[in-house]
Formats: sequence, structure tokens, C-alpha cells
Amino acid sequence: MRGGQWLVCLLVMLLCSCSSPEKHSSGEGPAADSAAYYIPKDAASAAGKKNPHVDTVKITGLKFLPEQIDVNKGDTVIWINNDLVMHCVTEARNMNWTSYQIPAGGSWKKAFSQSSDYYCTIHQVMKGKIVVTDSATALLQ
Amino acid sequence: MKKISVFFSAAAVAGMMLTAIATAQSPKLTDPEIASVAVTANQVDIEYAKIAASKSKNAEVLNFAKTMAADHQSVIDQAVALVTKLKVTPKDNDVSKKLKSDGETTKKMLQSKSAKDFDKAYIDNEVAYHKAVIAAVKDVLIPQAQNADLKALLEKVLPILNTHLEHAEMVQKSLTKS
Repeated sequence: MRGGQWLVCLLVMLLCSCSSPEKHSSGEGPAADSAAYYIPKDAASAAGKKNPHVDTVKITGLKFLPEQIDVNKGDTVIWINNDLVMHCVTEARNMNWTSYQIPAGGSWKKAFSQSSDYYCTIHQVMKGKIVVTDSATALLQ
Repeated sequence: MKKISVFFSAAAVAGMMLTAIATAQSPKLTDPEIASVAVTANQVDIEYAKIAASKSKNAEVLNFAKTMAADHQSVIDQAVALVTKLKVTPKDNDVSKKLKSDGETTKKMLQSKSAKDFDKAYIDNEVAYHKAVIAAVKDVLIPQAQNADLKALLEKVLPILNTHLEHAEMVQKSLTKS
């Protein structure tokens, strides 16, 4: 009987010691980024790659807030128009992508794999920047 | 000579607006009067934009005029929605009347310009007009507005006007270069 109890205890301890490090091996706890808290499945994830998540840019008082946003590769950026007037978000160099018109109270989102400068073609003095970093590559360098 | 006349027409617009504001400072404006001034100021700029849309061939000027027409219409829509909610009827007053009559004079001036001189005359007027309207909203309309919703709407309009001024100055600079 005693030998059987020891075996059960040993199995429980082994299971606990296996699952615990796996859950935290991304190096981030809920305090670091609760939205990206997950169990990594591959080597890249183990090196620190986050789960793609959504970053918000508010359009308020005819400004992009924040004016520059740093995101991880593959993350989505959502622009929320809090102004009374229509805005748009357009890639600045070659107009490679555009939201077209975002009405007052509306929003628009896009996933990013590369950094971009952008502006509002309706109010051309409104400018913003998306800086994309590949977190896995950055950590390995 | 042309440069001097354009300067004087822009300065005259600012002067006329400031006269209108000065007259507003003695007789205090009520909320229905403030609503009327706000709607009129927006309507006047939409009318200037319509003239630009028909006379200009410059892409930057046309884009600016399109923005003016769309933004000032959005502000009017918001103001109308607010006065409807508050059950207030905008009331004509000396300032709104002066804005209308000055607007008519400026429209005639813009219509009389040749295609060659129009862009500069329009943009110079936009710079002067927005400077004057910003001063009016900031120093007269917001401080005198009694209703909190009306005051909040005017405060939300201020950054729109500031961005329009910045945009107009950008186009003005570009026209000077070309």
C-alpha cells in the first residue's frame, strides 16, 4: 500500500514539474502582457514570439494617438475615429495600402508585417508611423 | 501690384471678421445666437469651397476644398443635431449677418479672379478666414456658451479649424514655390 501511495505522489510531482515551466517559457507573465499569455508550441515561440494581438491607435482631435506605434510582426493595428469628421489612413511613400474613408465613430484594422509611415489624405498634416519588430529575431540577435 | 492686392483682400477678410467679433463682445451672445454664428461660419466656408471646386485645376487646392466642404458640413450636421436635441432654434444676430455679408463680398472677389490668380486668392483667404474663425471660437463663442453640450461641441470643432489652418498654410507654401 505504502509503495503504491509513493508512486502516485511521484507521478503527480512529475506532472507538475513538466507543465509549469512550459506555461511560462515565453518569459512573459500576465503582468507583462496579459493578452499574449499563452503556451508556446514551437522553438520560435519559446524564443519569445508573442501571439498576434491588436494594437489601438485613437484618432482624436485630428491626431493619431500614439503618433508612433511599435508592434510585433503579424500584429493587427486598429484605428478608432473619435472625431466629428471623416478620416483615412494611407501608406505615405507609395500609397501601397489605404483604409479609404473611416467615418466619424468608425474604425478600420490591418495586420502588419513591415514598418510603414502613413497619413490622412483628407487632412494631409495628420501623420503617423508603425514600427514593426520581429520579436523572435530580436531576441536571438 | 497683384501681390499687394491679394494681401489686402486676405487682410480685409481677417479685419472684417475681427470687426464682427468685436461687435459681439459688447452685446453678449446667447446660445441660440452662438449656434447661428457657428452654422453660418461653416456655411460660408462651404460656399468658398464650391467656388474652388469649379474654378481650380490644382490637385492640392481641389483636395483642400473637398476637405473643407466635407468637414464643415459634418460640423453643421452635428450643430443641427444638437440644437434639435436641445429644442433650440438658431437665432440670427449681428455677427452672423456680418459673416454672411462679408462672405458675399469675398465670393464676388473669388469669382472675379482669373484661373491663374484664383488658387492663391482662395488659399490666402482660407488662411485669413480660419485664423479669424479660430479667434472667434476660442475667445468669444466658447467662453460665452452656457449650455455644456454646445460648449463641448465648440471645443471639438477647434482642433478641426486648427488642422484646416495648418493644411491651408501647407498649400499656400506649395503655391508660392510653384
